[in-house]
Amino acid sequence: MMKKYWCLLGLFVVVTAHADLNITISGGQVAPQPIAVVPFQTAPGAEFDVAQIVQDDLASSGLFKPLDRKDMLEKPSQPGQVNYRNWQVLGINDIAIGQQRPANGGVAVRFYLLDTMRQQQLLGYDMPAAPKDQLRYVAHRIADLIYEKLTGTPGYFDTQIAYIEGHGLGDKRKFKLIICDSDGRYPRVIAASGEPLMSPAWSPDRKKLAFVGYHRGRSAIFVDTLATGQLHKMTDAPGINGAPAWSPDGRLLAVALSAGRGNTNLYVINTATGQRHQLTSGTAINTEPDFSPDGRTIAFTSDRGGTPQVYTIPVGGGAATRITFQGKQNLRPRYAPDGKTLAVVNQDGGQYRIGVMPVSGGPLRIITDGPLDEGPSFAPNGNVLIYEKRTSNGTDLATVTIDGRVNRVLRSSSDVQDPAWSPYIQ
Amino acid sequence: MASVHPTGRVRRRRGTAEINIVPYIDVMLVLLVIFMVTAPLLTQGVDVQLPETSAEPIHSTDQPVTLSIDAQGRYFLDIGTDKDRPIDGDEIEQRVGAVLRNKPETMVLVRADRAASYGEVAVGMTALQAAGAKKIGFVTDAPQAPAASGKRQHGRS
Amino acid sequence: MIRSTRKVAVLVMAVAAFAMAGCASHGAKTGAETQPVAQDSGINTNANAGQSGVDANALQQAAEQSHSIYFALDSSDIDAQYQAVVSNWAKYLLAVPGAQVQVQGNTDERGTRAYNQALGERRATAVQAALEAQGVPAAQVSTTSFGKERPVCAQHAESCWSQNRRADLIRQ
Repeated sequence: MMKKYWCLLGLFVVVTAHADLNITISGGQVAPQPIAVVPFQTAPGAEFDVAQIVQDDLASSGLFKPLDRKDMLEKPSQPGQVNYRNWQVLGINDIAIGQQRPANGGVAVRFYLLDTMRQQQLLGYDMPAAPKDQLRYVAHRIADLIYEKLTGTPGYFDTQIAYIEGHGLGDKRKFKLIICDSDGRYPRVIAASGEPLMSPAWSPDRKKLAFVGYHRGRSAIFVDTLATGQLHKMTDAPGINGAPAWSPDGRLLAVALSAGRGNTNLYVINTATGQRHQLTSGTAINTEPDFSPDGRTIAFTSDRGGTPQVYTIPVGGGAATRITFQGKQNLRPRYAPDGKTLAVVNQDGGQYRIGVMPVSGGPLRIITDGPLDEGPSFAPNGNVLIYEKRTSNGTDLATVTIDGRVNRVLRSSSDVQDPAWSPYIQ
Repeated sequence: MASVHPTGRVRRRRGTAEINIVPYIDVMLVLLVIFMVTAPLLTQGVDVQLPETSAEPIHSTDQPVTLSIDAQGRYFLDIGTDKDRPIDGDEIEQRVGAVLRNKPETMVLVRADRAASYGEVAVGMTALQAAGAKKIGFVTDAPQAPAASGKRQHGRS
Repeated sequence: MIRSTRKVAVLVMAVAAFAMAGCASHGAKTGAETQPVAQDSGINTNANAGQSGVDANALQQAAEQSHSIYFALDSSDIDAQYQAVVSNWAKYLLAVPGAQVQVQGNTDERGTRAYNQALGERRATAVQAALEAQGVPAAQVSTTSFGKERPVCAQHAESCWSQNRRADLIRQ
């Protein structure tokens, strides 16, 4: 049944290599912290440049400025080998060193983080042996540990990003749903279609991806089980089926359906039973739902007041409360993982920019420079947002820290849009 | 850096009847340094950006890097691995360059044995300039014991 | 996908034609409230039902000559200049009761994707309502919205945006 539908759709599910996204960091308005990630000593059979990935991750955050390898005055791999003066003189406060050796059919990695001023060990970890092709994830975890130790906030490098790639115009436009690592590398095509693919949404356990696809112009919401590639059609009501969002326990899917009547309303679907109940009604547009992390409230976009603004409504139903009042329009709310902050798309004077605000309402702080920014999605540490940014060269993905200080751009030759940052692996 | 504070010297001197010439020696040494820095520039055309102002504060965390030149004209740097091994101009440029690329304001000190030739010191300094050194200082001893420091330096190498 | 749709579905499912008999008479009165009876069941058979003569072909050609209706910013009102488009399609759909049209709403690139998907749906239903106002049975008209996902012009300027704010009528 599933397979049949899948062919019908012209939507195919594959895992293929794809061009990496190129990352450029710009607009850092904070002095990045110097750090050195010394190439790890590598025993024969364990060759893989773990340290380079760690270094690139830390650099990509914009908060760290890793020392160029050619400027390293020594390359120790154990704390006892470190001559601290060689790092102090370079102004390096922290160095990461390590070793890799074959073990249990994989590669075991040991690493240390050392404070060169106090001449102290800050971290020391033996990472379990991983198959060689998984070493990049070991590297991302090491970067996460270092990031957390030095910034006090958990890292977000061992995560993934789902996004849509689009190429072409009108009905010739081709779409791909792609997942890549947080550094833009190892993109895998999850689905491809000659009709729009939209709104990818990670299940909280990171095992499934809900998204919107079309078949002969008719939209449907699908759930892809990533490990198997199995595609399940959640809803294909007449009219639009859009904007899926998972509840924090993964049991509910909030969606926007027009049910063929032109009025888009929110529904909550039980993913196990398929039962759904309608959350909003009326002739206004109600869409772009997002569950609060406690699972009790849904924030969404509605134009019931004339312009699109952000409202909240209890998941069980009830009265909606408008919470945005700044600028001309506010759309597509996304809760930060701590449930205290909301990211929205703000429109003022024709400029679409990303802003963050307290969930309780209150002042909106604009953190991107527009003019056509949208689709914010929080990294699971709540400190960074990914969003899409349209420029004269097409659509790129970009990240920004929620204080608006560090920006980076992930670019491809095609348009890359509609990003969704994965939760942590569980 | 290495100049001895005048008051200290005054105390050690026996009488006060003589004119205290030590400050003048200090000034002359500084002039000497300036001449030595600029002389190769003029003759060899090596580009060095001199500090815009002499009042630039030296950060306490900025550790100076020292290039030692022994009586045989061998060069030693107090950074990197194998500090007791003599190195050549390329290595000086590479290591000092690494420091200055990351901390451009770092002071580089030259400790030349008095038996080292002018030419050897000039070659060392050219390497430092090529590495991008903006501030080069000379390590000198008090006039009473000019050779002591040099000897200690050699003893280590 | 649309291209292949045009090729493959040379029209009219037997199912739809059958359904028409029961639905057409009151479809116009109840307007958009009527549930479309003929679902896209994937049964693309019987390509000649309902095509009664030369007249229908001419009407079809007339309709398909212009199949886009353009909208003002933030609007789903059909401008007077597009009334001819609507009536050409209405004539064709009335003449060929088995014919089906899908109205595809589109928006310009401004605003968020899912919100634009909903806006496009409004445009599509506005066209649907206009067709029904001319007597076209609801079951012959379905709506969808691609939001801003299918721009025909990619520049970030009104000259482009005005081309993208449109509803396309596509014969199924």
